[in-house]
Amino acid sequence: MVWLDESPLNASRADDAVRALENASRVKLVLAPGVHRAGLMGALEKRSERQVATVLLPPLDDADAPLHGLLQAASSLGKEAVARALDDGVDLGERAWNVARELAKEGQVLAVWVPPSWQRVRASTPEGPGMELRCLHAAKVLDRWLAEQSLPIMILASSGALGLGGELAKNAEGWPRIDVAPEPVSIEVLQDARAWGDYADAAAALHKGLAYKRMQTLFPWQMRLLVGLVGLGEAPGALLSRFGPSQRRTTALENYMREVLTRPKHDEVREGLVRIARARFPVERQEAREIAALPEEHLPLLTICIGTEAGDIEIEEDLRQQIARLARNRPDPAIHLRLAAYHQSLDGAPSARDAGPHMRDWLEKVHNLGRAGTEATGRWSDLDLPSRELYWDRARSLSIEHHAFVEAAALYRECLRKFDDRDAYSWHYLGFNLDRAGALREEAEHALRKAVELRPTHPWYNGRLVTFLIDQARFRDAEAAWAEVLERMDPRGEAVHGSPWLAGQMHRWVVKAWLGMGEVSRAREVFDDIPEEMVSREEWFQKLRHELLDSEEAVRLGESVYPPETPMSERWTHPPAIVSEHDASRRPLRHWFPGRVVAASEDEVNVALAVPHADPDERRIIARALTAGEWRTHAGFCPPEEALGRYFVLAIYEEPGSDEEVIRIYPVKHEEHRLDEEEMRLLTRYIPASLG
Amino acid sequence: MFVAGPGLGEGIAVALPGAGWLLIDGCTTGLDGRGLPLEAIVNRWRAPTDDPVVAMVLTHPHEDHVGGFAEVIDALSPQCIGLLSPPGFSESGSIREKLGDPRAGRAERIRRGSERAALIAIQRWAEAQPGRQVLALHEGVTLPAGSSPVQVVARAPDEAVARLGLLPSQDANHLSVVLEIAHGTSRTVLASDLPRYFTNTTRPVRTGWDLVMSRYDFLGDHAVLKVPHHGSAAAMHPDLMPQAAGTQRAWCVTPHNRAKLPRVADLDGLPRMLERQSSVLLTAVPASKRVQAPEEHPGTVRLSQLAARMASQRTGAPFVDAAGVHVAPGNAYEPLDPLWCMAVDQHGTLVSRWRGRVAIEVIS
Repeated sequence: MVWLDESPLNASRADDAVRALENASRVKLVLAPGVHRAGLMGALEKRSERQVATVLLPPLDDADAPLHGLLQAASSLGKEAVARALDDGVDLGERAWNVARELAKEGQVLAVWVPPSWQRVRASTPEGPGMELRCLHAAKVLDRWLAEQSLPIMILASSGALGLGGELAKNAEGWPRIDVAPEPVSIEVLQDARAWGDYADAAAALHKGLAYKRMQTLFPWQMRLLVGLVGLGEAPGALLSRFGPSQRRTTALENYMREVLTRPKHDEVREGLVRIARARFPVERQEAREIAALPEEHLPLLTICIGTEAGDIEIEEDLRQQIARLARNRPDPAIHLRLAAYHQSLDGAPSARDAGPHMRDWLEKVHNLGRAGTEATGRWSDLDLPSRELYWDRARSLSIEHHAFVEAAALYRECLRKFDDRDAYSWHYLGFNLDRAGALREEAEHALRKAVELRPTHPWYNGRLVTFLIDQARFRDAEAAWAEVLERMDPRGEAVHGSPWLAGQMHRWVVKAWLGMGEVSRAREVFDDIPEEMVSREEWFQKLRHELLDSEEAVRLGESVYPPETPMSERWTHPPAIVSEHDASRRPLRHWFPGRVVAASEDEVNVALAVPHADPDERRIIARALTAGEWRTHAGFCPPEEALGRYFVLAIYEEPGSDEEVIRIYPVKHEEHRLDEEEMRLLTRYIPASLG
Repeated sequence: MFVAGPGLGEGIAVALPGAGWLLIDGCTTGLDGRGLPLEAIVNRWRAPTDDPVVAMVLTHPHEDHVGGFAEVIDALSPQCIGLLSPPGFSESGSIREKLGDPRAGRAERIRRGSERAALIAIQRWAEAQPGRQVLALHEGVTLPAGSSPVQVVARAPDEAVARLGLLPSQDANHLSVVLEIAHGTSRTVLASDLPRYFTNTTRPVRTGWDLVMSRYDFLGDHAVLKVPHHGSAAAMHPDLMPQAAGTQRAWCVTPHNRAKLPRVADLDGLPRMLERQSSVLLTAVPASKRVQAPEEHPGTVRLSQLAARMASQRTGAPFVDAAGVHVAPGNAYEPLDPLWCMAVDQHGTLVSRWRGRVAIEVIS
């Protein structure tokens, strides 16, 4: 498809970038949505007279991301430079600077593609200790590269990814900017049936819709996404009404594509795209097709719409990440083994030192073996892996994706032995994974404490030690540990006011852990230290407060008579809307009682009713047994034997002055939460089967 | 023997003659649920040296019998822990089944947190030292009693049922561990929650008191009885609780507020007990914290006065007032408030007794 060929655009923009570098040491290329980074990188390499060290950074969600970028840059300098970049005993920032200086000395240009996920590098509230560390390392690598003023650098990114903060933000504003944005194309390209393959009809239908709305042009990425959506069965008219021709709406289109893929009728397509979305970098076309194994009629969705078919298949990064998150099952080891084999066929190297220009393939081989679960243990162990980040990458996948906690712990243990026994991160995750496995609790505790010893003011490390103790039912030890934490981190109770991060990543989990053990008053003590202004701002704090209030009410009354999700503001003062003010005979409502069925059989239904009152001290529970007949007469929304756990409102209608009561029991909707297998395992991991 | 019962749960502490303590089950006090009567009892009355907790027993995995059990294990380091024999233990209400039941309300989930904590603490205790094992309790098993001359023997549940989990019902009460403490000619019976009949019926429970009394009819000849199942009518057996024959004996009842036990109505609960015993020692009134109040010396209350005190506030709705039973968790107690203590010598003579501030002696 000629109109999709970005080569002329890439060539032109590459020339612009090269020219810009003659006058400035930094230039930024801002890629419009849908522009493929690999093609642009290739053009930069070709059109520059100087050697270009190209770095395509992987997503920051992956533990190997900072090291991955560093090794790609070093590979341009040769084996010795790679060996130095691999030296785990030297600070990562120092290694990055060394690479930058060597590149500058050799007169090379560094071109770095920065994915959208790297926006989080300077986030004030990292999402967890892993991301915190990756952000720290990523910042070190970028900052030290940028600090080397004699090294010409080209940054390729979407406009959002440039908001990285730190050196990059400080300097990037003044850099020459080159926009890499294709021009809109005529809608007539949609008439080229041969170009669209099995999506020709979809393209034609879209053409008709566009023509009807008198839209003559579309940006290429928009066009491809819209054809893809029509190919999946969406109506062109509705799509165009909703999304229009503006390039601004491409994010909305991507989000909608993700939404459409979640529909059950697209299960097969979605699963196929999820498979290929596991590849972080472009994959050769035929290989990509085989991995995705899409139904034939939807192949263009991959090769034309969300990916390209010019050479390797590359999926727009934002969309790729969204698709990857659509996975409903654990990752299939076979896919990662296949991707590992694919990259191995390209890297031709037994170790990183020997990888040369195939460094990215070598790293992807390691990464995919790492994500292939316990099936790849043998092959992964045979690799020569001189850096802890590569261990972390696999360990993280084993833990999060495969729930192979014992194996993950073993890798962190190995990291401590092999690289650095003062690595707080490895200590913490050794303890975390042993705890998750319900194994070796003494070692788990030692490891968690060691992490705190090495990083005494780290919110997660401290919080997790406390929650570990709570989960062990060591309540007094947990209280003592919490007191020590607060003394260390917030002796005057001021720090929590200044840092939503602290409350959000420490107090929050400790409160949840106490509630999980039924220790409501202990949960309240911790929660009360969270400033009100933070609770008001964050939805998850509000949910936590609600959970706490609901728990306190349950303890005070001894029974629950409202579904847990019922807002506190809707309780006690008036009956829910489902309760009529009058019955069918116009008798007025005289009394109402929220309630719940606490025992039920074919013969009898036992209920707990609450006397509603605005004052909590005046509320009380009344236990009453209803015969099956009474239940059927007054409730009837389910048979007596199925009533257990149901919430309801018992309403009593009565004419003034009359003794005749008309009883009506209204069901109250409630969504039961059933624990999944992993949730149940976690709750009972320290209870042997013989004890229940 | 100290019996604590604040309205939810019960805990018993037996100071063994010679040395050592035996603790059975657990409960908590205070609005924050952090008062631990058993810990308070041991700390208050134990000898300065060499007075260990020789054993802790969990008679059955009901959430109202595990309050504070986990913390007391850590605080008092028992030498032995005894439980109903698995699989009887797991058959009688698997924690996994309970946790996995989506119909449970918040209040139930909170109570199950205590149960989960107790089981985790028991397993942790077992792992803490090589060779430690949880003692599987069933009929005939003797508990260690340290250097004391006392013998503590389980009289229920039936061994075969406990080992094989042969009950059709999942009700943990039916598999409760019953303990007999023999000291010289003195006998104390800790009857846990074992019933005689299924609730509100006269259908016998297969493992209940009919079976136990057929095998151990001497249990009716006791100096002290912790009355089964909070004084419910379905738990009373005439041979276990015969008419008083002149010898002094103490019957102690712990209330269960949610079930409104023991009942004060005619021919039920307390009235029935008082037909056979001149007084019943109640660790607390089964009512809301408003009704709970320190009882002035000597702490003796007539049944009619108790009934009046517990008379329910009416809602004005006959459908609710006629057959409804007001229940409340209550409990604003300090740990030593809902407590009866009875001292018995080796001849079975009740030599003294002491009560906590809210415990009462009920007479006809």
